[in-house]
Amino acid sequence: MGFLEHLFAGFVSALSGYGVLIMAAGVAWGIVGGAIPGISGAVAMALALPFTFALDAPTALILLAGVWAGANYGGSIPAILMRMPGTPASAACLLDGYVLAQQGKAAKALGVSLICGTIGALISIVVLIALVLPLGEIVVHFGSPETFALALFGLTLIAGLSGPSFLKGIASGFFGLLLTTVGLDTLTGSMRFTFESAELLTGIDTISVMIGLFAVSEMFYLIAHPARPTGKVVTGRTGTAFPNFRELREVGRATFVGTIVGLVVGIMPGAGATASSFVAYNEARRWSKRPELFGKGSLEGVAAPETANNAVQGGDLVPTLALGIPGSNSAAIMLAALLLHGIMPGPFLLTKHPELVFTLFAGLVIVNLLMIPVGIVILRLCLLALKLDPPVLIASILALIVIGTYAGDLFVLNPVQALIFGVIGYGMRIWGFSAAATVLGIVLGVLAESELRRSLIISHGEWSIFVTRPVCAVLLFLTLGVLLYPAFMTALRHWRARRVAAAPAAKS
Amino acid sequence: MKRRPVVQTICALAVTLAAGAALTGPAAAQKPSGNFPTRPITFVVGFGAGGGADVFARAISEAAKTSLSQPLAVENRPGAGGTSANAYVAGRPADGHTILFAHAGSSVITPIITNQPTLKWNNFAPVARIHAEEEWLMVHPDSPWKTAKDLVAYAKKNPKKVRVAGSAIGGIDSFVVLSWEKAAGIDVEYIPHEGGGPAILAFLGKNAEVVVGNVSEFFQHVEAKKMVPLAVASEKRSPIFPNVPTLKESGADVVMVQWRSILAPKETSSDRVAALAQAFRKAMNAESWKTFNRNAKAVDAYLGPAEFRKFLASEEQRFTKIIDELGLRKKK
Repeated sequence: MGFLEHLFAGFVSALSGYGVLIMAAGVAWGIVGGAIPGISGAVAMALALPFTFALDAPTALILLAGVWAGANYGGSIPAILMRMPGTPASAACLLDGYVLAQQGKAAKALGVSLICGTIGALISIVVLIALVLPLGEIVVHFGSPETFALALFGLTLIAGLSGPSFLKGIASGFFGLLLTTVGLDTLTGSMRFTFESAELLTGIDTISVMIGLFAVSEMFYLIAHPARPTGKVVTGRTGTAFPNFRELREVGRATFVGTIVGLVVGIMPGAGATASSFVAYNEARRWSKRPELFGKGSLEGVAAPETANNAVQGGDLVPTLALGIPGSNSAAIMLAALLLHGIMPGPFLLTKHPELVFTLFAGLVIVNLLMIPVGIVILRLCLLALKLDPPVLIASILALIVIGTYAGDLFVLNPVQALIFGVIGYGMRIWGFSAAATVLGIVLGVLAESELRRSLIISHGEWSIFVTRPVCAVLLFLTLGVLLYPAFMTALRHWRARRVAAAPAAKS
Repeated sequence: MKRRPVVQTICALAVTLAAGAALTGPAAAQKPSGNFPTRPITFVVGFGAGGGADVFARAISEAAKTSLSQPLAVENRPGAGGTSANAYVAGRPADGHTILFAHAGSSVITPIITNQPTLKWNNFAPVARIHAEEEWLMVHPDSPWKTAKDLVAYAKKNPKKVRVAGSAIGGIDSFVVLSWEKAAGIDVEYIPHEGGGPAILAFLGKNAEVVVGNVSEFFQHVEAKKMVPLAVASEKRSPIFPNVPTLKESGADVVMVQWRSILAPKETSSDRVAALAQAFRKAMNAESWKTFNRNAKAVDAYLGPAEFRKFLASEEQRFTKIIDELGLRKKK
């Protein structure tokens, strides 16, 4: 059978029986699970895993694919509506999404996130279907040095998140980096900043801290400043108008940037959806025609990270299907489902079980198409939440945070961390520090540190490893470029100004 | 007027939290009776969903449907090398309705290294050892070393030159390598990764000369001619690759297998422990379990409560010795 016949058979198999219903149910659960803080895509999939025992292997895979796709999107709903990232990957989209919601454009932001996310996911799936095997050869060349370089590249975003005081922005970023060092160091097995507490061995919980810094602090702020535009978020006037065609065209460039970033980062085994969304946010601003709007309610600022974190799905599946090595926690659950159905995942999956892989391909396309109708129904329901009285809304959100952060890992310290970091985030906001820069530090700090150290073990301590590997060298060169470019431009302007000033002086 | 929103907020908060508690309450309120088990059993796994430990737990839980009147529900509580799950289970009622996944890393090695004796296996009731997977050393197909002896000879002349990829420090992979270094008198560079998958990717990208880990993760890469088995850290040669010698044959006495097992809270009554062990033993005859084991290249290695306790004691002795020789134990 040729490629197209396989693909056609895959669609037939995915659509047979209750296929569409099962996928729609998967998408719906994924969106809801992704929206609940603490329930990440992988946890939502794990919760659905027992249901797949009753299904045959292809149906199990398309159900999980639905949950996965839904959860990728679902996290952005509370991020935009409540400044509460449902999953770590949706943290970047609240930077502009929540501002838009406060301006009464919640539905527009949610619509952009849904549509651009779907576009990103679909493109990445098409690339996956067309190029899975050649890309599988490339994956192994993205090692620790490359991931480190990507993390460093992403950290340059601290400059963009700093706000008025650059120094305070840098300090906030470093605070985030410092937080990631807490816990059991996987490279040496030593304990750092654990103060002999067994609970701290695990380190800080990324999502709980994110929710604390962003959402809890915002709720405190709303309680402390009830006269402030609380009303705006909440009034019934809040537009339920979805984005129109012109607005979608305006975010085209950001969607394109997000898709490329998501694909590349997705294929890199070390980095994941969260890193991709921050890098995409930064790049979309760099390439935007209106970069000044970022942070003040730019639809592009929602489109780029959301496209990227959905486009990671295709990239994650490259090592998963080509080599049998999961590209992320969510991909690991897909492989676990295969194993539990008596199928051994590995480099022969595509040749030994093509019908299964092509059903999955077809399923991925269909679930991402189903995202739009299922997503719109759920969005309409979520927008109703904005009609609640502010006190009721704030209380419900705080309660949801406590329950949600506990539900993820069933770990009491997580909601405690969320509340403590809520207080810290509130203080940071009052004193002009940047919580977003801290979150960026947390997201990329783990990658930067462990991959740097691992690279140096690989190179026997030679720093030259970072310039002798082409991909890594290019990324580091770009990082240096974006760091020096503004300083260079300022210097150039000064030099020109001085020449202009000096010229008449010389004449007189 | 200004205070009202705050009061309203607190009231609403109380109502929502109460509702949350009410939803989760009934399950915990059931009373145990003479029959066992009377409700679903929670199988706590200290590692994330989708990993080796998790897949094992789910496979044996599925198989146990044939031998237990109640279902097993896997609950992932990842963190701290599996030990946060130990801490959680230690605090659960010892009525047999909570059980814990255990392997050498989570119930012996990590508690010793991190100085947390309360989280070690002997603060739990051993239920059963279920299966075991061999640990292998693999090299590239174009590797200059055809045997473990070749490799050792090279490593002796070139200390720190051979790079070995494996999972995090504290897991069984790292201990195979540490013990091998000691036994063969060599010094290699161990590159720890977050798990077996990332270690294999690093190896395939030629960032390491050797990779160490479970055979289930390697098997298909050997078939694909991307890896060549060099040695196995088991007592006897493995039926999977019978031509490949053991590390012992190469002169380094390293025997370490990745066994996977089940513990219960310490005070669980012996008849309930026995009932559970019996159920698992029966589950191992289920067709789904046999298929799983065949795919995972694992072998059944059942030990009942009493023998398993003895085995754990000997494992503890062995690992304590290695850990102290290497000076890995953290100071108080």
